[in-house]
Amino acid sequence: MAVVRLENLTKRFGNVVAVNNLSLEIKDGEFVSFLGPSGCGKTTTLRMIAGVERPTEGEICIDDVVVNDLPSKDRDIAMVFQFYVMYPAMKVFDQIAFPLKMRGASKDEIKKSVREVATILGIDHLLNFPVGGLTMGERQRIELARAMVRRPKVYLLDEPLTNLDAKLRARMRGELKRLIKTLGTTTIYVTHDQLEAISMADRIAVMTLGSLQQYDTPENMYDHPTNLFVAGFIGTPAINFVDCSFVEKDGRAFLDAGEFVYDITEFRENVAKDSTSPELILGIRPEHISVNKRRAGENSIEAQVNVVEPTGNRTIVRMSVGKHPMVANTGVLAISPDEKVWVNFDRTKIHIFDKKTERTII
Amino acid sequence: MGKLALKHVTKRFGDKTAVNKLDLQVADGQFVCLLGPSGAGKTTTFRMIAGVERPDEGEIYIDDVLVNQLPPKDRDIAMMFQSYALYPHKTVYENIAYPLKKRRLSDSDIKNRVNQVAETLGISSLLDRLPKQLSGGEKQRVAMGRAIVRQPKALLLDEPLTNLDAKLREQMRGEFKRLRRELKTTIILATPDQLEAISMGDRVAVMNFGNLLQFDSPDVLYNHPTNLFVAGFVGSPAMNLVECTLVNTNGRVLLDAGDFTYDVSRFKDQIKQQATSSELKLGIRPEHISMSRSRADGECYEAEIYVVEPARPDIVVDIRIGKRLLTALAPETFRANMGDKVWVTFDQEKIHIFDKKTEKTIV
Repeated sequence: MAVVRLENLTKRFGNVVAVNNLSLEIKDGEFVSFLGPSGCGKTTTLRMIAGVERPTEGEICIDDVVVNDLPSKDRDIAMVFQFYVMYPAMKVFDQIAFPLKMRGASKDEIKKSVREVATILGIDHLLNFPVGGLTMGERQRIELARAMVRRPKVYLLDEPLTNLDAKLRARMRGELKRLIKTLGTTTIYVTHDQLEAISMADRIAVMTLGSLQQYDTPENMYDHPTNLFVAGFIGTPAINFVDCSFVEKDGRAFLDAGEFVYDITEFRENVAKDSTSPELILGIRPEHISVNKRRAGENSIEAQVNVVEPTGNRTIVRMSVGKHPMVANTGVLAISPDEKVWVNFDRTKIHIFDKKTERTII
Repeated sequence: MGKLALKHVTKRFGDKTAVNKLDLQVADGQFVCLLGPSGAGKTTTFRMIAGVERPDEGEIYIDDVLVNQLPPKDRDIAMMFQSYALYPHKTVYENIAYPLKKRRLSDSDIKNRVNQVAETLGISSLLDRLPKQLSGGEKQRVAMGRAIVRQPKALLLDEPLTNLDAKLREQMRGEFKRLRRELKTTIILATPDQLEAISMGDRVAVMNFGNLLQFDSPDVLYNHPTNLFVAGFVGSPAMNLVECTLVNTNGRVLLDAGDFTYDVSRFKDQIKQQATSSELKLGIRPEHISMSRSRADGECYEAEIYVVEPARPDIVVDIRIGKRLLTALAPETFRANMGDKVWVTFDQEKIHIFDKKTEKTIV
């Protein structure tokens, strides 16, 4: 069992509040990602869980035991770093065996554990090779093996894929996810890369400036972000935001964005009830915008194409609706810059935010 | 005018051939990307175009004039490096003005040009700042400004986006393209990132180990790669490449991949003509693999879901057929768990067949 619970966790460095009253629970066997931009507090939180940083306030519990005063080595956690610090001449076997040696385990125990872990990670054929000269993917697995061999209750991973190039990262994400899910150990994974977090984690804790914004499954974060920050941080290309005013007329409701007006009558009640002012923000993700050569119905909006970026199986289209920039992410499309097009939003996918509170209404 | 032609350009360093008999034509005003992994020869090619490296063989023409003997300063080519190399003690204005000062333009001419360039790049408000006060994206724009203010015949950009984080890179890609339309200068951009190359370039030259493998529009590179390397390098997630053996059985021609077979009878003539042996590779892009809970007609394989990555807007699904792992792309609504069984089909119109030995495309 390894349930990790953070209660009102706060860390201050002088006047800077690096982590602000963070409370969340990570279930046994769950793979949770702490996600946010530089300086959001994710690494500081990880370090407090690891025991290399002391909380200013609040508690960290592992399996209902408050571990604030427990030194790192007694917390039964293992950290996997982003820089694979390895002695190049050291054999893979010895690299993995290192933590057990430090613990004073017997030769037989060490041999058994190392082989077991190496087999699970598919590196048993490399055990007698020196570490230098191995691929990045192999080195990452060795680093994982070194953490696994200690059979910790919790794995803490600090941006382990950051130093890999885009193609390798994309390949390693799937492998790493599979490995972690197969192991079934509670895992906390820190990253600033939203694509990594949504591809891999069971749940994500999005943070900014020390505060938790939303803690949910990738699917919910993506489809039902609870505030402007989360909606804008998750998803690439980023969600389109358009400033509008809420207008009611002749029994219908609209979002008036100046250059266009969007009918939101079916959401009228919720918007009227939950908005603090008529200043709203319409949000629509690029892949939920369809680009048409001709007007496609009443809600079609005229736009001018600025840039077309083919990306293989999709096309990113950067447009202007009057002075509003808008980005669509469609399938393969034959259009050119300066063309006039008609865009439609998928009505089931629009978001409406309160501009003042930044909270999601729809 | 900024027409560029490289004919049989070769560069060796000791017994290593960095660039091998490169033939490349860049039309005036074209935006060409040199795409390839580290060591492909992109930077060496740039250095030879700029004139800081001499070719061992071959000729370089700028606007139909042979420039092999011309020193860099007379070639009118501007190069922008990965590290930006801004003068740390000069303001943004002074950095951009520098090449014009060297050319002894009048102060008022310099002011006009710098302001114009700054406006095009959206950095007018930064002219009084020092480089250390700028963000990564801003520094890059200043470096661009310094390169384009000379109104060069051609602009060489060496991995300009590499040092930026993912979000900024995505934004800058669009900006570059927009900018390029305003500049009308010939641009050659080197990058190891295939997404950058295919989203920005009019044409892309794919290089590896000093050789030019294919020079075409992004659309053609993606849909009609002429060899194995290009097929596997362009597109992400990468094309699935499966080793197979050609087998003739009961009048049908099949590709035997061990874990499954695929009927290629309809291509038997092409294969017979072009294959140098029975060792072939089957290529299929992730988006051309369909998954379903029920068995479909025709060639349909039973597979197990190995891992699902909801990399929205795409859903990347690794599936296992027998012992073989393939990557598929599923629609937004796809839901499945590790270990689920699905039925898989390949889009018949979209398969590729490569000769394993020659690495050339057959179909």
